[in-house]
Amino acid sequence: MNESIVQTPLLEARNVKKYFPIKRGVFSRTVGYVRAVVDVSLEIRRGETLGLVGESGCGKSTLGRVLLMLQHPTAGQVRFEGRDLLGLRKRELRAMRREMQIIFQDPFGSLDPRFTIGDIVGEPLIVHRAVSGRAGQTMDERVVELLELVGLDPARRYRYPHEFSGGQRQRVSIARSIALNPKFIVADEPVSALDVSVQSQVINLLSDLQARLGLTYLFIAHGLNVVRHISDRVGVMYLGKLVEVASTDALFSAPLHPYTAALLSAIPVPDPHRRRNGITLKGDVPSPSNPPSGCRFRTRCLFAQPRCADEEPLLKTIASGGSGREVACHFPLS
Amino acid sequence: MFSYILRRLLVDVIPAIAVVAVVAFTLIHLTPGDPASVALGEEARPEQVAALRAQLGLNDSLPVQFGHWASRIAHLDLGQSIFRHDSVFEGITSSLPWTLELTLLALTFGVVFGVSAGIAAALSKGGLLDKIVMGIAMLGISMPSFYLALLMSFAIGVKLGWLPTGGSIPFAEDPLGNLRSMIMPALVLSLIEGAFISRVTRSSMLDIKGLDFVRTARAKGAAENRVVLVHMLRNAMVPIVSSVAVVASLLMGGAIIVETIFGIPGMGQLVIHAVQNRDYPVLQGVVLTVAGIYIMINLAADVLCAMVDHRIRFN
Repeated sequence: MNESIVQTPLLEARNVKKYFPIKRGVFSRTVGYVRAVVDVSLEIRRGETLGLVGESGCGKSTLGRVLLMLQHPTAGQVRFEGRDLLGLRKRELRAMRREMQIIFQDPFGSLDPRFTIGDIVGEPLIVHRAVSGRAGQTMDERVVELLELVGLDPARRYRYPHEFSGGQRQRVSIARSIALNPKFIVADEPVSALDVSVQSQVINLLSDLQARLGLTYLFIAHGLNVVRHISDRVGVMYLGKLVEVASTDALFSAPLHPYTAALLSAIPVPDPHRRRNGITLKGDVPSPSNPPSGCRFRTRCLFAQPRCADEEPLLKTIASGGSGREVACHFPLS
Repeated sequence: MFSYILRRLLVDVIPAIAVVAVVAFTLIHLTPGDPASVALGEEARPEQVAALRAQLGLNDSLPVQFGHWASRIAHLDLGQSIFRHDSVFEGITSSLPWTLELTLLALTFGVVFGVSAGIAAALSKGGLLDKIVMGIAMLGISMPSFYLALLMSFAIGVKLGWLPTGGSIPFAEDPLGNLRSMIMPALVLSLIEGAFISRVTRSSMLDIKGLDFVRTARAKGAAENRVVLVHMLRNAMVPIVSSVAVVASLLMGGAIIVETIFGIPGMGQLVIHAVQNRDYPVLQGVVLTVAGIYIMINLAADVLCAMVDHRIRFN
């Protein structure tokens, strides 16, 4: 990444909100909202990988889907290459799917069991009437090329998803997602459902493809260790809010938000003799339908002060170590 | 697939037919009354009845009578009707086409209306369309077919005069007239079945609707029609096909009532006359034929399911 080149970000989100109504009773009255994503602003630069981490239910997958308009945001703005995605009509949005794709978490449920993997990988080419790539290429040739690209034997393209292992199915998902030569891919916990040994293979495949095809990733995961390897920058989410964004090195060497520090100290260390004096979080994540006042993390934060309950900390840019990084905390660690 | 069908025929179909033959024969002969006394009327003297019984072979023990009948069936001979002046085979071949036409028409209506209504309901779950479709389906399942048949022939046949209220115009003589007279009976017959299929389709589609691969299809940029018809419906097919098979066999029973009301000379009329007269050979022949048709429908449904879902294997 050459950071000296000033350019418009590939994707830009401003104050994105996604609330899910809670309905009760005979007349489905709305009695409240699950605030899955609250006022998230971020930008993703061309060619980079932004890692997104947080506990289960913190809204990171919802954010990923909202950025691709797979779910409509309650409020906010999403711009892709400067175009406002919320203003697009259905047809225009479908055309935009050429540029932005998603890899889902569950390699078992996300592939249609009635389709051969060749059909799954080829379907985007059909629906967009595009055999992209070199001119004169047939669809079958493109499917073979894609399967080879993700390390699957193209001779198996007439087989069905249930005949493949989890890692292989995730390779099928990846081949499908790159079929149209997109610019941006949301990888929504692509390795969480896989064995540890297969996880690293899939992550390496994603890195290779990024280098070869010039892809931009939003890489969602619930553990920092997975994200560290592939990300240029990392964002940390807690209860629907982005609490810290920094370059991977800066975040791992000196976390500013107490929650980030807690996540870091939760990474297992393969050394039984090393004493761990990290932060252990106590209690559960509060309900996203009724979040705490002020700072959402204060109920579990070791450093909480009275001010944290009264005033909500905003995500602010802090200059540290030459590069700008953002944190939402009244009392950032140093 | 061919060897699968052959194996099913040998292992399932033939034993099932044998069991049906035994049960049908026993039940029919255990019912009180006999064809001899029906034929001669109430005034007949006991000697006359006894003589006719002997002539018809009804004085032999049941196992002996069954043996005679079974050996004839083994030679593909269903026997002579006692009251009609033709063989059982001729009786069935002259009435079965009517019933088949009626049930096939009803099946077509039911599948077309049921599946499309079910899809529409599933897509607007909780909405107005869903409530209307499910309301009609509830009505269709609850309403007895004879009542609906009378209502429809009064409204459409008598008041509006759009369609004939009945009739038996052979297809070969006047295809259009035949179809016109068959539309109303087929609609009546298809309502219950269509209602059932629409409920199965709706719930099957709802199961599929929330699954991940549907979201994947949308993420690919597939148009909504393609998502619904190619991805969702194909996956929802197995329960629908199975339920169509179940309904198709129930239709034969419903056809008897509808045929009677609309005066169609099908299997229904054949059976009712045979029951009233204790025409044993006709009854046994009809039961055997209908059972054979049921079994074939089920076999066809199994083959169809395996063709729709490649994960179900032919073994």
